[in-house]
Amino acid sequence: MQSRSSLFCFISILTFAFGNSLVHAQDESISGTVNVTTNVIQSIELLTVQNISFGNVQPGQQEIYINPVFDVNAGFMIAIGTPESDISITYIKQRELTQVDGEGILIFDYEITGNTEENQEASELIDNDNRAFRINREGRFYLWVGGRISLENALPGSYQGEFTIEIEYI
Amino acid sequence: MYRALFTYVVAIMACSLHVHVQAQEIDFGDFYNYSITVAELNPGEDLDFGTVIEGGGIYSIAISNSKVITLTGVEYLDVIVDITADADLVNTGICSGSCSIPFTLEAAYANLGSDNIAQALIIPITSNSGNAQIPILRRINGPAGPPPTPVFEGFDPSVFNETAYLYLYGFINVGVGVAAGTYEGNITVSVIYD
Repeated sequence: MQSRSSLFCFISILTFAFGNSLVHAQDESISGTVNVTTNVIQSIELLTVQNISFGNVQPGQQEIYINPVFDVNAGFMIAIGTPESDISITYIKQRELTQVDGEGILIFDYEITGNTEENQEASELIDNDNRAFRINREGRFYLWVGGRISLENALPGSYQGEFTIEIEYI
Repeated sequence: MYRALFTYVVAIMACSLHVHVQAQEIDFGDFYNYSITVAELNPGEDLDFGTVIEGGGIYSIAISNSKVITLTGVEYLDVIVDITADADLVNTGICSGSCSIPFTLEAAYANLGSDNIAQALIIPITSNSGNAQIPILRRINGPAGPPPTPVFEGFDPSVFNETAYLYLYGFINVGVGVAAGTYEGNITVSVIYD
C-alpha cells in the first residue's frame, strides 16, 4: 500500500515537470466564413401631378370618356421607388361616384396606362393581369388615369369618389 | 524515512504549482493530430434577411431560421469556437448617401448529437465577437470520465466522431435614408481543439 502511494507521487511530479513542454499536435484552427446579405428597397411613393379633368358636360351628353393615352385631361401620377425594380400594379376598375348634395350615383370605369418614360402617348394599358412593370433607372414609373362614365339618368350636380391603386415590389 | 520522502515530494509539487498553475487542466486535444470538420448544414445559403424596406427599422432572423454550421470531431474532446462578424453590412454597388446597415450577431450551439434548437445554448456575443469552449458531445452525466483511449498504431479517432451544431442569427437595423441595393457582410468562425 505504501509503495502504491509513493508511485502516485512520482507520477504526479512527472506530470508537472513535462506540463510546460508539451508539443501541441494540433495547433491550427479551422476557419469558415458565412455571408450575411440583404436587399434594401425604397418604399413606393405615389405623387399626383394632375387630377382627372372632365370639364363641363354638355346637355344630352350620354358619356364622358377620358382616354389615358391621348387625352390631356387624363390624371397623371408618378410612382417613385427603388430604381430598376419590378413592380406589380393593380387597381379597382369600377367605382361609384356619389353626388355631393344628393343621392345620385355614377359608375366610373377606370383605365390606367403606364410607362417607364414620361411619354403618355407611348404608355401601355394596365389591365390587372399581374404583369410585371419596371421602375426606371431614375426610380420612377409614370401613370395616366382615364376612364368612362355613363351619364344616362344622371342627376345634375357634383360627384366625388375614390380611386384605389396598389403598387408593390415583386 | 517514508515521512521524509513524502515531505520532499510535497515541496517539489508546491514549487511546480507556483510555476504551472494552468497545468490543472489537461487538454486531450493536444496529444494527437485529431481532425475536425467545419461545414455548412445547407451549403450555399447565406444568412439572408431577404428584401427589406428603407427606414423599416429592425429585421430579425430567429434561431429557428438561423444559418447552421456543423462541427464534426471527436466526441470526447472540447473545441474552442471563435466567432466574429462585421459590424455593418455594406452596399455592394455604386452607392451614395447612407450605404451601410448595422448588423448584430447572435449565436448558439447544440451539442447533444442532433440539430435541435430546443437543446441550444447561447454563446455570449459582445460587439459582434464571442467565443465558447464546447464539448463536441455534451457530457450530460457530469465531468469527463477516465482519459480517452491512448493513441496507438491503427488508432482511428474518427470512430468517436460526433457533430455539434452552431447557430448563427441576429438582426439588422435599416435606417431612414439607407440607399437601395444589395448589402453584404461576413461572419467568420474559427474552431480549434482545446
